[in-house]
Parts: sequence; C-alpha cells; structure tokens
Amino acid sequence: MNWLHILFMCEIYVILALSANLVSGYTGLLSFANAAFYGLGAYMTTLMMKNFGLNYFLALLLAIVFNVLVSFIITYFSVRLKDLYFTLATIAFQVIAFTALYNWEKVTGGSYGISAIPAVRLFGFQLNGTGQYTILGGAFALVVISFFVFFQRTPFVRLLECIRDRELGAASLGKNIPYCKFICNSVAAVFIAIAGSLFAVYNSFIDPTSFTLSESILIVNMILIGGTGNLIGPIFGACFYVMLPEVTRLIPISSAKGASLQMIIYSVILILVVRFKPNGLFGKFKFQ
Amino acid sequence: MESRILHIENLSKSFGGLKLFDEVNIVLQQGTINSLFGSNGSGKTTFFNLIGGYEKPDEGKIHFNGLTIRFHNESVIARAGVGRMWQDPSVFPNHTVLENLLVSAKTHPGESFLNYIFDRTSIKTKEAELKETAHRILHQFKLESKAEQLAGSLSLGEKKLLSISMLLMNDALLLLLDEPFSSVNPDTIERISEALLELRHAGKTIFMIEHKIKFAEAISDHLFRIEHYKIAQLS
Repeated sequence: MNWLHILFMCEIYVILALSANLVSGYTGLLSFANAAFYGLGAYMTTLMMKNFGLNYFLALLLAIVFNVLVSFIITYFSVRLKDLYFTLATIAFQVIAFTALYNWEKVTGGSYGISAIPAVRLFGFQLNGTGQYTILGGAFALVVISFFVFFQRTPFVRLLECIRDRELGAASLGKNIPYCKFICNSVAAVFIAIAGSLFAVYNSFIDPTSFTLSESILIVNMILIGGTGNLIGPIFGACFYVMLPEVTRLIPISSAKGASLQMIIYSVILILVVRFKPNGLFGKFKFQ
Repeated sequence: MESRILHIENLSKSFGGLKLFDEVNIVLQQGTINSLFGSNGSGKTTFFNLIGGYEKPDEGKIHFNGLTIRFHNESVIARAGVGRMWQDPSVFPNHTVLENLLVSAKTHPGESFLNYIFDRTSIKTKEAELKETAHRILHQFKLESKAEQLAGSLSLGEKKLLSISMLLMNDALLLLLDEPFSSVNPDTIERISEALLELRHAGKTIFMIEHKIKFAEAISDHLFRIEHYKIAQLS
C-alpha cells in the first residue's frame, strides 16, 4: 500500500470537497459540475505545458483564469435558478464538458487522453516521485484550508449563510445575491483548477474518464457524508472516501469481491447518514 | 411639515383573467403609521409585493422617495429604503439575534470580497460600529438579553420584533409590515405598538396589513381598505 499516494489523493479531494462546500454548503446550491471544472483545470494546465512549453505555475495561472471565465458564464445563466433547477443546469454543463473533452480529439486526445505531461519544475528543480508531489499537494491544500479558516467567521460568509438559509429575506434587505453567487462559484473554480492541475502533473496522463458525472457525484457524496457549512465535514468526507477502498483491501478476499464490498459499504454508510444524520457527520446545513 | 414618501398613481394588476387592482391611487406621508385592511384574498399582500418589487404592476406608477418603481427588482427597492416584514418573519434562524442585525446593515465593506484584499481595516472598523448600533437597537426593542441566542429559537412575537429591528438596522424609510400583531400575546402586541410609535417619532413611515383592527386603529394615523379593486382611505 502506497501511503504517500493515498495522502496525495486525500489532498486533491480535500481541495475539491472544500470547493464544493463553498458552493453547496455556504450558498445552498447543489452543483454537479465540479468534475467538469476539475477536468477543465487539468486539461488547460496540460495543454499549456505540452503545447506551449509553459512552466507549471504559469500554466496553472492560465487554467485558473480559464476556469473563472467559464464559471462566470455558467453563473450568469444559472444565477436566477433555484434548488433543483440549478442542480439540473450544472448536470447539463457537466455532460457538455465531458462530451467536449471526449470528442474534441484534436485538442484533448479524445478517449486516448494526453500522456507524457511534463513534470513540475520549481526553481530549476524537477519534482520527481510521489513524495515530492505530496509536498506540493500539501502546500496547496494548506493554502486552501487557510483560506477557509480565515473566511469562516467573516461578514462575507455570514451573508452567504443567510442567503442559503433564507434567500428572500436577504433580498428584502437589499443584498446583492447574484454578486455573492458569482464570487462563490469563481473562488470554487480557482481551487478546483488547482486540484485538476495537480492531478494532471502527478499522473502525467489524463483522459476524460476521470472527469465524469460519477466523479461529480462522488464529490457531492463526500460533502453529504462529512457535512457542509464548515471545514471539518468536507475534509473528513474527502479522506473517508479516499481511504475506504484502501481499508477494504486489507480484508482477505478477492479484488472483485472487494470492489463489490466497497460499493455495499459506501451505500450502507450513505443511507445511514441520510437517515440518521441528515446534516452529515459534522455538518451545519441540511440540503432540502 | 409632512412630505410624501410613497405616491401610487393609477396602479392596476391582474393575474390571468382575475382583476385584483384597478387604477389604485394612494399617498403616504413621511413619519406616519398607516394600516391596510381587507378581506382574505383581497390582495393586501400582493399590494405590498407590488410596492416592494416582488410583483410588477400591469399599469400605473409607484413613486418612492424620488424613485419611480417599475422594473426595479426587490433588492434595488430595498436598498432605496423600502423594508419588508413578511407574515412569517424573515429572520435567519441559524444565526444569533446579534448576527441577524449585523447582516441587516445597509452597507458593510465586509460583504464585498475585494475589500478583504484592498481594505481590511475598514471591515473591522465598520463591524465594531455596527455592533454598537445593533446593541442600541436591541436595547430599544428590549431584546438585548437575547443577543447571543439563535434567532430560530425565539418566540413568534420576538421574531417579529427582531424582524422590525432588522429593518431599522437596514435604514429602511418605509416599513411594510405584514400582520405584525397576528398570533402574538397581548404583552408582545404592546411591545410592538410601542416600537412602531417610536419609529414614527424617528421619522419612519409604517404601512401595515392587519386583521386586528382595534390594535391597528389605536396607533394609526391613516386607515385604508381594499374595496372593489380600489383602495379607499377611511380616515
């Protein structure tokens, strides 16, 4: 068992779950487009590094800008949608993004994906091996966690929570609700781009199957099980989902049976959480 | 000298084939308490929705403090000074009473994301100022002991008082109150009445829908009734 690999995947999913929490936990909008932004971040970084020979950090910066622009467009068209309608719009975007990545072979490599993604170079030093990427991922995860620690008790987050709890009440106080949603979705898009870029350079290969609707559902499951509206819930949910398969591997059964066992455990835990802890294990907010 | 704060001209509104208002004219003076009566389903709440921008009139004009409301959305109208208390008071249940007041402030630099990068000192200063104002308002509304209590745990009467105090924090000039006296005990009715009289004294204009005519009459300067698609002034 490669514990450094597991730690690296935990770091990526912590960033993804915290980003999903910003949109879903603080504004109450359940988005299923996280994997689409994750994929766009990964592909944009890869294309900039491979086609234009850019340094990882410059490529990441462009991926962030691209993700924010796409997020702006999506938010513009969905900002007035509520509850299920917003969720349906994000599913539509997720499907469109996946289809584009899968079929635009000339740019994305289609189902073959893109291989031989250059390694990260930092001050002339080339990152090599899981350990070094875990340190890079840890640094980014720490930045993202610090951002949320800082913002958790600010008037901005207080306003977001009020919009989540009672949007009409916030509107009748003259609050600029579309602005808040734009900011939330943009910040989430920034962090998801970071996760996507890390995933791409770590694996040195990407293909569209890593960015499907199932991946978005997985990210939403992380925040449903861990809970939303705070820090600990998404972090727990992300680590739980990454580590559970590794734990089930310790059980002495065949890998086929192990995979089935994993799905059974996931499903049972999800049902139990939804039934007995609808806010998630550590959450503050319950999805309606 | 009294001045007009709300002037509605020839307002008409229908839903499908159902006519609700036909060329309604009404004027409210600043610093007055006004009550609107009418039978169930006569359109009282819809009339408030039209003033607050939650519904658009088919015809006619609504002038509020120099702003002509026609296509503005509810947030813009609220920022102009039209405050709304809903029948089910719109407090934020998962926040404390104090936080409810802080989030109601008309402007707060901490609610703009870029200020965390460019102007962090103003956020702290404003937050401290607002806390002071919020405590003063809570004292005025006799809610100071509840400051750290979750708003969701308050009684209905206290929620109504909190909702009115939030409008005061929001610096609303015209307060549209939907049944402030309904489902509350006599003590709370007295507290709400006192609060409304104080607000009138401070120059706020109050326009309320009320079924408890006796209590509304006792504090109102003008009474209106919805009759046959029009709004008639009773006194």
